[in-house]
Amino acid sequence: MTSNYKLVQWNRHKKVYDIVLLGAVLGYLLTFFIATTIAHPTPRDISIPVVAIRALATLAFILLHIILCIGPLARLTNRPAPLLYNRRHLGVTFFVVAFAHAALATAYYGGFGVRNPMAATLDGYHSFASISGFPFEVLGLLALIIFFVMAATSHDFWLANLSPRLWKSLHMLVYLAYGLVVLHVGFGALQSERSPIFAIALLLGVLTVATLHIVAGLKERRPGRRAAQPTTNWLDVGSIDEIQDNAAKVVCLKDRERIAVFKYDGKVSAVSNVCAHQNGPLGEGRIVNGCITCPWHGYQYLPEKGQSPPPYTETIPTYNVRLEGKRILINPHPNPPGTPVTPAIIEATAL
Amino acid sequence: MNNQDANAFYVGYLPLPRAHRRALRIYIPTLIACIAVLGVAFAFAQRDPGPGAWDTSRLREWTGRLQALPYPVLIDDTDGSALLVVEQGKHGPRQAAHTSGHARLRGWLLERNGRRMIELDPAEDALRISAPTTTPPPRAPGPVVELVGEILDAKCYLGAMKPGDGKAHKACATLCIQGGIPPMLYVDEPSGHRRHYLIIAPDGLSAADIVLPFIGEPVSIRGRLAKLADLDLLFIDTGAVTRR
Ligand code: FES
Repeated sequence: MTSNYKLVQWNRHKKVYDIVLLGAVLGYLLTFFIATTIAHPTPRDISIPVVAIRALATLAFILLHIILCIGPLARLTNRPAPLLYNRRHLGVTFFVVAFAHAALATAYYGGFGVRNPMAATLDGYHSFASISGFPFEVLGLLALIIFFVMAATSHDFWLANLSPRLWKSLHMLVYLAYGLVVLHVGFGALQSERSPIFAIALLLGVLTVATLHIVAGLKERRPGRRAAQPTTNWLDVGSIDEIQDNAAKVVCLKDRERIAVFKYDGKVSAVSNVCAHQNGPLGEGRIVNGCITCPWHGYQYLPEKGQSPPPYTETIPTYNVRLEGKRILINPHPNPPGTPVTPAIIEATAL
Repeated sequence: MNNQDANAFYVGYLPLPRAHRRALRIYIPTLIACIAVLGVAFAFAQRDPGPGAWDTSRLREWTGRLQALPYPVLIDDTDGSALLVVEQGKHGPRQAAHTSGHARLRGWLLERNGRRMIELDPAEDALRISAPTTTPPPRAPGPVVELVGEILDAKCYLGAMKPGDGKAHKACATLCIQGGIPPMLYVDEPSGHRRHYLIIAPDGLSAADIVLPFIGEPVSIRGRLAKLADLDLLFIDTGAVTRR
């Protein structure tokens, strides 16, 4: 391992983040217990283990939605970035809560009997052909397995040892797992509860996640980002006036490759839009202290070199770039990661 | 908001820009408040689990006539009402309880809507039968009826788990019935009254195998009625249960 961890170590933000997160988790569980005791007093009380199973279930449901919404929200505005920065801790916390829900439900509903608790929970004479008989527990277990793989590989160790692309595709499975969770709730809790609140919450959750992803996806596709028109083998990707100082414009090539074109210090450089850390969108970052700085966890790269400043060793592909008046031209063939490229100098007359 | 704020860029290891700090001061408390509201709403929206009660605080004794149906039932000497008998956990009663005769039982009471059950103390002397007799299993001379309701394990339903019915409890109820807890049908009558039936196979055998695929689901069920003390019995044949 290189000194990969430097930028993402413990710091004050992380501590505050984790304290707030833990407080929110415990606060929610306590609130749910107290509210249940008030709403359902003896003799029409709900068994304590059932209250615990439900408190964990509803909390996991809420956390999963927050996790799935932060990503697209951060693409729409930079403000939720502090939440994104530590999304991994949120993800692992979510997994622990979901696992506790599953373990408790399996022990309580599947235990104390003549069968192995797992077998009793997963194979209780269910029917796959009817909604009322469908084994919703199996759906929950499949989702939990996916979440486990994701939580277990979320550490940077795996990023360094699995290729970032493989890691990213692995983490795309979250959407499959989300679908399974929605069905788990639909075939499970929604079948035994009578209040419409649960169905409404599920529907709103799905709609919110879907809408945010669609809106964020459309933003990426808006015309300014697609502009690339070939001029011989150089691409005209727009004018220098479109780019703010110390920021970038993201250009999407036909093969969906993305290039971040940065303007800084009267120069223009182009690099891959994909951060070497967790594929964060570099083009949404800024130049901080002369380095391209990733908006997700702050990994840095020298724009002319496609390399992290020493002693760090991360590299990203660079692109050759030149200016014709105010127009920026880019050679769409990426240079190998870490290849130095002379930046295009903005002539005083072009300003 | 000045221009510098509008362009503020957050980097985790650098001090938080002012605009972000301001935004977080609003977002985080709002988010936490929303989550708390959801928690309270979910808690209040939970379905009423019914008035089942499981009194584990007091060990009691009963005497009566033990009737070895497929599921043992005690006809209480004091008031002539019927009590179902089970063991701790998800287990039907011990072998000794399958003998008819006058009996003394020690255990804990479960009760819901007047329907009662004894959970036996695991000690061997918690069940003593004097004067064993052979009582013929009850017959089903009653009319054929078609009832609509839900089949459950009697123990969870009467108060061991609350709620002890519905889809989320299906696997548990199935496990209970596999373990020998009597299957029970509840039917909500148009009057609003809820009626309970102990389900038995025709020759007085356990109906577990017939009902197992349908537990915790809305079903309609055909059978013949009979009565044992104040307990309604429903005798069913294979194929008597259909999903609704
Ligand atoms: S710093 Fe983590 S993805 Fe860029």
